[in-house]
Amino acid sequence: MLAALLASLALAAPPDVPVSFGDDLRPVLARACFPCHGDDGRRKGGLDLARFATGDEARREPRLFREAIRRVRDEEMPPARGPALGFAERALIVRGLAALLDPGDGPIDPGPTPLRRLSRDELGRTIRDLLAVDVDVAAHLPSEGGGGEGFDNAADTLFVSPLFVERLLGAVDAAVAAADLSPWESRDDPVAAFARRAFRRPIDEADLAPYRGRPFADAVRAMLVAPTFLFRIEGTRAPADGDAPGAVPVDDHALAARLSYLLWSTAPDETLLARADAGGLRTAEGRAAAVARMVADPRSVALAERFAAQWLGFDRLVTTSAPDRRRFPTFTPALRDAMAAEATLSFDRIVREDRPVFELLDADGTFLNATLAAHYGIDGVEGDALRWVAVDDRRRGGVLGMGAVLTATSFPLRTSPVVRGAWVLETLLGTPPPPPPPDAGTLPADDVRDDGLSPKARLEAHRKREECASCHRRIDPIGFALEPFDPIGRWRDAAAGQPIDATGALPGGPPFEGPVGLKEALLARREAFARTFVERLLGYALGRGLEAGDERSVRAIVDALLDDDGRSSVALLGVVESVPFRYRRAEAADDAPPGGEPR
Amino acid sequence: MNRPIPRRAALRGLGALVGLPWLEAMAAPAVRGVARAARPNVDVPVRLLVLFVPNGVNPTTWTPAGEGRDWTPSRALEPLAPHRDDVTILTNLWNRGSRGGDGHYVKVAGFLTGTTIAQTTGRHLDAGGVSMDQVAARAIGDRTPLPSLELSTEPVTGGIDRNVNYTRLYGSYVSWRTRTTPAPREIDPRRAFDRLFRTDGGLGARERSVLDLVREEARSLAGRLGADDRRKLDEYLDSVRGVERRIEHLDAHRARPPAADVRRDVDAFDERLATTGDAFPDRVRAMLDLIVLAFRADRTRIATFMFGNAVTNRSYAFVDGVSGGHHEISHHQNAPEALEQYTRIARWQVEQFAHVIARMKAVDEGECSLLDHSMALFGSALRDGNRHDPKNLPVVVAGRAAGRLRPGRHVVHPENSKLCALHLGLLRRLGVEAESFGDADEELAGLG
Repeated sequence: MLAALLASLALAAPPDVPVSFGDDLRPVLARACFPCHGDDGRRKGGLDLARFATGDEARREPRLFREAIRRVRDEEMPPARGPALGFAERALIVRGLAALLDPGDGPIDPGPTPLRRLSRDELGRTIRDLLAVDVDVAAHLPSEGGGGEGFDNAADTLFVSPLFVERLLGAVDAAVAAADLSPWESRDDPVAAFARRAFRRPIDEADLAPYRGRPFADAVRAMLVAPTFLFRIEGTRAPADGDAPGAVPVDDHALAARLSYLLWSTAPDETLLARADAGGLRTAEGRAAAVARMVADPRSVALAERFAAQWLGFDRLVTTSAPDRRRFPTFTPALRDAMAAEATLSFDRIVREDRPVFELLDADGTFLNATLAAHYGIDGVEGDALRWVAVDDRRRGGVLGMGAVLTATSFPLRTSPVVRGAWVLETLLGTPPPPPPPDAGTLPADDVRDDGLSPKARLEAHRKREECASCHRRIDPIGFALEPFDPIGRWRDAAAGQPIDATGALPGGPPFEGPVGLKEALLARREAFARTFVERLLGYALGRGLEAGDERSVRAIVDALLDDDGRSSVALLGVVESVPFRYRRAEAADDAPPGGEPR
Repeated sequence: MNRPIPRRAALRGLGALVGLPWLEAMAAPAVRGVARAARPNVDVPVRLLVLFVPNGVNPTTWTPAGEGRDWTPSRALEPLAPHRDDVTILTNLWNRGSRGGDGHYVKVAGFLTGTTIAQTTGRHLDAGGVSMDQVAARAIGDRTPLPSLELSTEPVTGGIDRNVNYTRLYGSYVSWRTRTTPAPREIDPRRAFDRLFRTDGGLGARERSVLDLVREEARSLAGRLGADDRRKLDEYLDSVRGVERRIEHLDAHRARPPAADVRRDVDAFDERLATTGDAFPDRVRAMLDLIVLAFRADRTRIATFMFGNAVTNRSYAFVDGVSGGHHEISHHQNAPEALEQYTRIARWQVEQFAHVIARMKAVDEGECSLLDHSMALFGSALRDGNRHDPKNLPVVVAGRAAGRLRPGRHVVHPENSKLCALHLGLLRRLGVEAESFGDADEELAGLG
């Protein structure tokens, strides 16, 4: 109650009197926080608050201070045994820090726009689209990591190496060899037509000169490894009435490419290029119409397959999850694929049918086939094809009841309340716990082993260690609520021969019972969930990590999303309409490279 | 598994590119087993292999008893007993730059760079330096069709680690082409083999003309880009040049007659890959044997192999007595059962190292073996995974570097001696004239 009151006081309205970080806030922080987070180099949870001397320094780390606001507001910090904090001081910290992070109402900085190379997956989809071939181009290319907000399309973690170029040459060769080029060759000017699609913009004769006078297939091969294809080189246009101040709009075709790689992970099609040609993306109505058409197109499944899979982590189901084969003989490739498809289709449905994003937390059905339904103990579903099935049982429906998530957050032989709890905190609530101390232990690998202590009892014993307790008090109870799901997501009433105690709690919240209780508790914190979703989506759209200047965009989209019952189109359009999505910085303020020149 | 090339097409012309100038220059073939006492052939190049293991080792079963020539292998090192005269065990090395940061990423990415990596989820990604193997590749890599070979067993780990704010890709690379660009690794033995030994259907005149074209396009683009973006374009151009150099090498090698015995082994390896399973131990063996074959055929002289990425929780249940994931087990909390499994995992990894050593010994190069002309570094960027301890790393070097290493010893250095000093020593033995490397101005004392 108090927390909610403070939240509304502190976050809804800026304080009447300006608060100075150095004069007003820092002394309170010094008393309440520094004893653990700053004095004498103490850095509990890796956090040193004493290093911030001024408001400007603090503003550079908005996430840290947003999290600090939340912890202090929810009375998680200072801890019970720490310095006492009165109501007025608590309000000062919450309101003062919130005001500090509010960047005011000047022009919004679009942030950096590092040159984006098409990712491995984007290359695969794009080449497949252009050549209408079913060749797994991505499989030819070396695997890649992720960056920014955690996605493999982040500009800063996409590299080019001799191996990459060699593999791309091979992939393009294979794709062109398998392609029927005659539809292209029947066009008036095949090279010009192909270049327009591959380079995603109007083409002039100078662009084409290198590709003229050679067989069409050779021209195609060359265009598909050309830098203009491989990199998203963006033009800008002159600002017009209605454009955001202090920033330069990207041109129509660069915006079309941003749209298509956001929604489809592939290049603009003819329709989108034509719309860009006609200036049809200059108005909000035009952009909304384009987004609506693209969402309705089957290609928008890429958003589920790429964005959601990486955000929610169910891509790990295929790459790293390895339930023990002997213990879990029913975990077959067919089951695994059905799990991944359930997660993908569930997200896709929310996008395609413009449903509330909160259905990720709780839905009245899910996608099942016979295999997966049997796995979940749900009757009456037949066949291999997954379809939407209404489910009364609230334990299923929503990501917390999905085998994909439950398996990806388990170890080969046991569940991990810690991993599952940390997953909820990081992925759904956007508040990742700090790393464990270096000598942190783990539970035994196998939870079927009977040593008289349930995993919960063992974890609770370990939480008696003070250095572990402050974080594990937040993490573990969330995972406990999911303990009734076994390591491959089946329901169970007992583990290691003992009944499961599924009492859980969110940080600073009241206790609840099991996955259904967790769902309700998360729905009660839908603002944190909405913010996390929006932050990840914006990061995915921009191909970079979010920065301080993005905070206003995030907040505006979150507010709109909450005002409109969480409809997914509001988030998508919010991202598309945001300044960082449609603009570049006025001057290319090049960041100094950390190293020397690449060689 | 995706098979990019029809087998028959790949086999045609296999080996045609295997030219071994020094072998042709040799007067008489050596007798296997007698070579040990003989002088190394100075015309034969020195090779560098790095075998990296993630997640550290059981610290209580690693360090051998005794010092100098009088040492007894520990439990983890027992598989090296048959090769004790060919290995140097190095105790008390570390990379000072890997102190702090986080428990894994800083350690792994800095293992061969000897630096501190930047804490970032991507922006201004920076390993702090070029890795030792890539320094060598820059210096001497132009002498072979592939400047260097980077192999692993796992795809790059995706996403970012929000707990510590590093992109997870740091933990997937020990080789860094530049401070800001990791060297991609091959994880599929078939693709790696094809790249090493396939001569037709891959890179040729057509690819050369494609690259000519795109290079021109890239140059004309440069003027339109800001400095940051131009760096990306430079990376692209540099890579195009790298592939062009490879094509030139291929052309040159096509003109040379094949060495019959090498060609026979290449063909045999190709056949073997057709039946190599997906199981981890099989893939590890295939990769290691492939490296030996590549060295022997002089396709490259520099190779790195990662048994896995940082924090990998790969199941080692295929090892007798092991039942869990690697990372889980490495957090043993001093429980005897976990420590025992941790030992068994390291021991299995050392067995693979011993296998490489044996294979390299079996290759005659004049009066000596391939191993005598090589330096094979085996190590981890952590000692005890439970503590994420970067001090006193487990490090072993096999081989004689053509007489410039003195193996057969357990060398106990003063505490906190520089891993970079070892890297510098290895670089110099490869013929790389380096004043310094990382934080080391002098090579490690007593290498030989």
